[in-house]
Amino acid sequence: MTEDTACVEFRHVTKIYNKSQLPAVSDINLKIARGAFCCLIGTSGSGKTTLMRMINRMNPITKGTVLVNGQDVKNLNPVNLRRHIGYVIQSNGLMPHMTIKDNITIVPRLLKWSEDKIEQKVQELIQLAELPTEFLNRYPAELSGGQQQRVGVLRALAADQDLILMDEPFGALDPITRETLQDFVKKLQTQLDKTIIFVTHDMDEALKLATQMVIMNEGKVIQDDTPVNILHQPANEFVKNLLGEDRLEEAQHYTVQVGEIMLTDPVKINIGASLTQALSVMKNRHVDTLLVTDDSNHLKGFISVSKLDKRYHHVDSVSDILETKLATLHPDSYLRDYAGKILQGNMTYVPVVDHQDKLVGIVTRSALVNLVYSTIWGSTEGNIQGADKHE
Amino acid sequence: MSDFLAAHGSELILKTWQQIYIAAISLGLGILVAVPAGIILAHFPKVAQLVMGISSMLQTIPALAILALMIPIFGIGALPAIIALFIYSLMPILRNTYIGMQGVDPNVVDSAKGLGMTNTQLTFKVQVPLAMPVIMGGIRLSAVYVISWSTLASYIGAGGLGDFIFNGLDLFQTDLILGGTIPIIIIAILTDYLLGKIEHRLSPIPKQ
Repeated sequence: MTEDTACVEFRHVTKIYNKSQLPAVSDINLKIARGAFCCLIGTSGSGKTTLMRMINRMNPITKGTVLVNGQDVKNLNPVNLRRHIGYVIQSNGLMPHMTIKDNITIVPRLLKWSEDKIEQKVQELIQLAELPTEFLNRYPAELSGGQQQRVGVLRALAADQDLILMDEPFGALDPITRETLQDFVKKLQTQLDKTIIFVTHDMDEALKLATQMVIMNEGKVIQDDTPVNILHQPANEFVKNLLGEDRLEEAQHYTVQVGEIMLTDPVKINIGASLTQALSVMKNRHVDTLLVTDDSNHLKGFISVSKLDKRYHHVDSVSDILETKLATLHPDSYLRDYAGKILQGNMTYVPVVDHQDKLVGIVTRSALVNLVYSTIWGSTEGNIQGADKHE
Repeated sequence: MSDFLAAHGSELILKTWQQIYIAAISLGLGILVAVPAGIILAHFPKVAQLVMGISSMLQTIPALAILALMIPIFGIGALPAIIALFIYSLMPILRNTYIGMQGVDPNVVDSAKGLGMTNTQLTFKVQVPLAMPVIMGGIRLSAVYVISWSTLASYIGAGGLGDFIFNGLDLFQTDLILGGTIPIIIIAILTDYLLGKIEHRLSPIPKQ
């Protein structure tokens, strides 16, 4: 197994159900890397579940090849293959006649693990899921829907499966429980370094969880990319409709980088300058602080007019009143990650430095306010006029 | 009551034993054949339709007629009675086993398969345990049928409590009729009660 083999790969895969003329999926080529969180998303009947179920041979493959860790699944024993791939379905599929513990340990028992190893694994898993130990002896019907699905997820991890298939696992849960479970699965995936293939029709869920998003329609892959790229460049009208007007609008700002909105001529002064020079720059440019750089434009800190006023008669160089505690941004950071912090804090601006710490610009509060304004109201005049009428 | 027991006591024990013996063997054979058949049929729904149709048809033949039909083939006595009652016991057990197996939540079956159970493991660890209450329902139904119908076995010389009842009818002796009927009712109720206990024991999900 080389590092660059994809965890799962589809090569010209077609599935035609008996009695049906039209293929459920047709000529799919797709690679899912190890450690990816791949969401298959599409309307119902788009073939996403069919595609997923061919990985563990729950659906026979009509044409083409499905590779798991570089091996053609057609050459593998289906029972053995399934024991090494985690499987979670919407209605959790817990065995109602088995206790939670027996449910979790189904696959380890099928694989004939020793009792000690099983016991150890159970304790490890129940802690991972933050469920009380006494749940182990209960039956599924005694647990809430969210707890049941948590157990369903644990069961898929119990035999250290690296690849986990999930078929709309949280579709039947209420929004709050669903969100908690999404966080749980995301945490597991990153912590334990699992590859997850996740079928959903909930766009928010997919955007939240996926590192790779595969959009399907009528048995074909329409777009296969990261969520950010899909939001930025939807392949066609279908994808745009699936994403929806609001998300696209929001996404435009969602993916704005610091470099795009920063002002590129920040008011600055050389570290060797005198306080008199500094004062005149402040007066001319109508500012109360100055960013301080050295000769090769490296950001050193800032000076403020209040401190300058206090110390004007005691010292005479900018370097003497320099304050070095300063938050900075990089031009290629996404604003979404910082906008909140900037708006909540009392900074009037944040300097932007490149990777050599050279000052390249500033992001001001007013630039952020404009951005937030257009996100909330949209860019169309109609919205604003409509809102006025309500007042 | 004591007069009846004094006159017919030993006979009563013998007839009761015959009744239980005939009913138990017929039912036992019925379970042995119909439960596995139902489990197998659950994997072949198309064949199942055909088999269900045929066994439903057999069920419509009157009990007395089927007993009479046995005489030319097996003669008289306990054997033809057991065979006839065995045929009667099949249908409820077969049907319930099949329905019970079909009625297991398809999601549970799907996930058991998806986790990597073989067909045998799926059948015996998941489907049969979950279908058990329905299967037991069929067995209880058959048991009560067979116990009451084994009364008719008296007609073809198999003995049993039917002897009392038919003698009583011929001789207009109410005590003989009651002497046959009451033990049958007691046997039927007791059997149903015991099978209910077994069903509870075999029930996959413990009740709170």
